[in-house]
Amino acid sequence: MLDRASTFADPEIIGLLQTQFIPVGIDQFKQRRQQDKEGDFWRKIAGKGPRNDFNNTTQGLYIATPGGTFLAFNNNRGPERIKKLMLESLDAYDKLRDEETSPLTVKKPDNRFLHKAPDGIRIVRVHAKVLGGYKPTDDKWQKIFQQSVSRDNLWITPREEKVLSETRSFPSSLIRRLALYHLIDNTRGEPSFWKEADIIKSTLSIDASGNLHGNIHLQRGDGTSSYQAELRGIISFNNSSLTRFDLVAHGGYIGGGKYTLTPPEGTFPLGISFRLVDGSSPFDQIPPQGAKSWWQNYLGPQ
Amino acid sequence: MKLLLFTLTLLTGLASAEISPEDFQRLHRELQPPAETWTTVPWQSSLIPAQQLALKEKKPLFIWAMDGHPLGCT
Repeated sequence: MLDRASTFADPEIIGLLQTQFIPVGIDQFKQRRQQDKEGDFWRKIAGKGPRNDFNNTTQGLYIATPGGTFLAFNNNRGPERIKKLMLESLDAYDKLRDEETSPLTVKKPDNRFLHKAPDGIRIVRVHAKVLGGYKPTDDKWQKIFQQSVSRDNLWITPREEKVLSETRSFPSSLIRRLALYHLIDNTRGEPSFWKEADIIKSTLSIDASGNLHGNIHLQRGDGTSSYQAELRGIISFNNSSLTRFDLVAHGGYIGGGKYTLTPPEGTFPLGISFRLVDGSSPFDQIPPQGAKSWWQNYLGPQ
Repeated sequence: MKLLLFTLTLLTGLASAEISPEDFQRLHRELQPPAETWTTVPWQSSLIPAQQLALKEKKPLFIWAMDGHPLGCT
């Protein structure tokens, strides 16, 4: 989220991206492991940059030709530096415009990794925000973290949508997925997800009017982190098709994770919202963070 | 010290408060992200369609490569 609030908040960079480049976002965790044409293409580009050990992260901003010729890399968030890099790369690209290449296709995709929601999946946008407890700071990067609203997508399977509409009750698989992967503080980076054994309590019920109410208590075995929250929401259908899935979790959170350091001290209020989306935007199609490496486990037994 | 105690009491109260129907509507609204400039960029979400488009439009690729998908996670 540092990039979103710094590099990609700069109007000149946005203008360049909109007119001079083909901008693409990727979770390089997948591409550097993928054994298919897309993985090969990523390793061709990143292999010419400084982060070319594919057993480690290749995170950063890259510029390359459509043929995969590396032009530039930076992992700095400063807009001025990135603008300079983009302009220099456009000059370099001018000399390579006639590079011989053809459109890539993937005949045998590495199915360990998904790049969009499977057919029939309903998508719910998830946002989390720490609602208080931080110490005041003058550090601009810490301020971004402290004010950040996270993003993720929750998947609801066709079977779960059917159970919700026909029985007006929450399938255990959906409650499990909510608890393990979405009732988490991911506002400062990639979260450490909960484990099955961390679920102390999880209830979620629907009344005749479609009102949702529940409670959750999650706690790590070593006691370093917990979340105790109430859930409220509303759900509605057109025949058997979900038309609304609005939910809020609100409660006290303790602790951080390996990549979500510097949480507020002690118990702090964390709110998480859920809202059904129609799947039409590229943002809707991004697989949930919890599905990045073993998506079958994210969905759980159906 | 009194201010600190008041703040801690307030935070504890916030952390354990029940959600009334009015609170639900308010919280759901407050937990949406503000309008963000980066969402106005016509991002592609994977490399293959981006490469095909770059070739067609004769433009270089700008690749935002992160741990966790930058368009959707964290």
